[in-house]
Amino acid sequence: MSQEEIEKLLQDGLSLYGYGKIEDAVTIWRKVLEQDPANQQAIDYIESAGYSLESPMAVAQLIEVPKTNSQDTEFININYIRELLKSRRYELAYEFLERLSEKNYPSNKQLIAYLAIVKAQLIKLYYGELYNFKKIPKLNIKEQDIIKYNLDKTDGYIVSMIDGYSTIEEIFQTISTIDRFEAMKRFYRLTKLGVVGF
Amino acid sequence: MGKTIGIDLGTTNTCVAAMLNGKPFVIPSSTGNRLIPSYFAVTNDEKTLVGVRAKRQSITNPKNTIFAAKRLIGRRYDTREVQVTKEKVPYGIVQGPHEDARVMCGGKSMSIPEICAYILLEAKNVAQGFLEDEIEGACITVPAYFNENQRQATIDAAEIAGLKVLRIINEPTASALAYAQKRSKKRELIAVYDFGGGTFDISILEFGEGVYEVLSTAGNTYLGGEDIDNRIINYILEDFKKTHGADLMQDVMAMQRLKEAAERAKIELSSQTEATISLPFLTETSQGSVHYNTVIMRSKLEELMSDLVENTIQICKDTLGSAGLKKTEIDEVILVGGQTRAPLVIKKVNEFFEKQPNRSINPDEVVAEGAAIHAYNIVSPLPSNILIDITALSLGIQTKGGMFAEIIPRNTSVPVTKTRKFTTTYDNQDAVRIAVYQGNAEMADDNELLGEFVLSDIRRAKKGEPNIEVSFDMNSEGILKVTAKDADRGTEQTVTLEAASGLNADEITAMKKKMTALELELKEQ
Repeated sequence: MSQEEIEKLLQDGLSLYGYGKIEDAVTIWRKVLEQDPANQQAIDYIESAGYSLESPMAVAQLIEVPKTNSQDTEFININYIRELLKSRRYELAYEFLERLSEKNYPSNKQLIAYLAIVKAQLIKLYYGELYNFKKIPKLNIKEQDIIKYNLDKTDGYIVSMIDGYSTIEEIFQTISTIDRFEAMKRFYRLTKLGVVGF
Repeated sequence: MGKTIGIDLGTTNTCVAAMLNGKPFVIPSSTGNRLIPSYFAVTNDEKTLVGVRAKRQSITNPKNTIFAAKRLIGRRYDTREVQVTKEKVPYGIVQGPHEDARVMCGGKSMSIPEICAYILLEAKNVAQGFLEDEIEGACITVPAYFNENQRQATIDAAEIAGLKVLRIINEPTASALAYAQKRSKKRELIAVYDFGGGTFDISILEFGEGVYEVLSTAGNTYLGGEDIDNRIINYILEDFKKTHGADLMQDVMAMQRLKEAAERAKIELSSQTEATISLPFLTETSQGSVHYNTVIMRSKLEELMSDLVENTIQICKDTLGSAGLKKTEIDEVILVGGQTRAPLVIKKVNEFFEKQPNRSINPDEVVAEGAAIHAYNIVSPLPSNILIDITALSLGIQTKGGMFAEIIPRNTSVPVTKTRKFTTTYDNQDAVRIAVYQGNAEMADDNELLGEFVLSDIRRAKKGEPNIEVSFDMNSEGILKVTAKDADRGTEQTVTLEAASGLNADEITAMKKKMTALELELKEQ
């Protein structure tokens, strides 16, 4: 299989993934691995897709961040980011970019610019999905069931602030020691998990 | 005509009430809360928070969350009370330009009246929103032991918040007023046992025939329900350490949740014999997320708080003693403050006074209700009840050796005029300095300096010969007029002492403008 064909398969997988056809996407990426078992991009995609079914947060932790500064690797990363953006997988792109910009290329202007774009896209997404933060959230599950979810102490703290009369925006103000973007991200995830509703 | 309201500006909570259909009514906020936590905060993104939201981030944002501002209002920075508070609170307390105590919040120094104004503004907005009418004026309550500076600073806070103060009244007096609504008019001696969130006060009042007089008052400004919350928190911290081997003290998010859970459990234990605390994902250890669950029995809480309740009983004992009263002379004991819901408190008060305390009025709301009644009485054309207040602190002047010479003793009913004679301390002395102090300490410097002036042109004579009469005249508004007179020559000097709140007129105007702008901004949102 030529490099061009591999690229096409990766892209086809991303397109399917973008339409929510996760299993079909994974099947295509596995075809890439059959031809090129070391193809990191395909591995990343499969792992990402696999974990995203359970927990999008865990996905980022499993992305292999390149450790060299070579132009080639950087080029691949940029391509990967472009793919993620094309398929609107902004959360994954953000986690990936954040890790890159913090650890490997802290001064890479292109990465910083991408990070800003992705962050803006995510904020737009959060505003849309969370009703411009104007709605009053409520706990969507029985209190005793919360421990069944994969949360951490910051999530526990945020959930404890849901009082039945404060809007999300008001809760953000009350938890202002948590970075606002981080708070949005966590709230969004809590709603996606079904822990929090409206 | 607008509406009048009563505001109980408390150390930990503030409550606002108004008269509706001839009865006092506590006004709930739009969220249904009847109490506004007396908390003010500036968030990381420079937003101001007041009330419940400010309280709910007090531990995660400790340096920029101001609470218990009432302990600082109208006090000079160098006073003992301010220095004690400075040791106990996580926020910064600094000296203001007029030697007043100020707090650091959001990187800025803020005056205490300004902080209290934010809380009063919240109370005003709650009332205005509910009553759908402008607020014409308010009666605001203060502890009976507040000196003139503290009262003036409270008035300044109201002015900044755009509230016209109809009268500042003592908290126990307000309680008695609310209580009188539900009583016959016979003459009675009442003990008001006020165990609030941050302070404890006991006051003995005499009332009947529409006349109310505070005979005696005392308390502890550092003894309240929050001390009980802290006992519960410490108990949980120890239990957590034993069970999970981890110290939660440094985990601010966990501590914030613990504080709220402790307060909730305490409230539940007033009506139930056990309370469950369940805090999922409270913290993280090397083993992963930790969920904390425990059950606290009422008996455990009573064990944790018993010495605090005993302290309040001791203060009751001392107060009755200083008023020359026997507990059997007390006709009724009124319970005020949320902490008096605790069965142990009711039991101990019952045992001490040898009578069942009156629990017919909501202890959290009685002070605001009384203030609302009084505010209504002031503006209504009906004959109003007469309030007789007392001076909770002695008033006097400094004499030789820095001693404090009392002219109006504490617990004296106002209005009052008292005169005492003094003389010179050296030969041919032709002037004397009259330094007026308020307080109960023997040395003048340990009391609050209200003002000073010089009486000159005294008849020159041997020391001890001239007769200098110093008169203190205090009216029912608490305004003190001091006159020093050379009785031999008839020359006299009079000053009216205006209390110093720590702010000047320009500062008050500027703060008021800022507050009005903020109000408009909030309305537009």
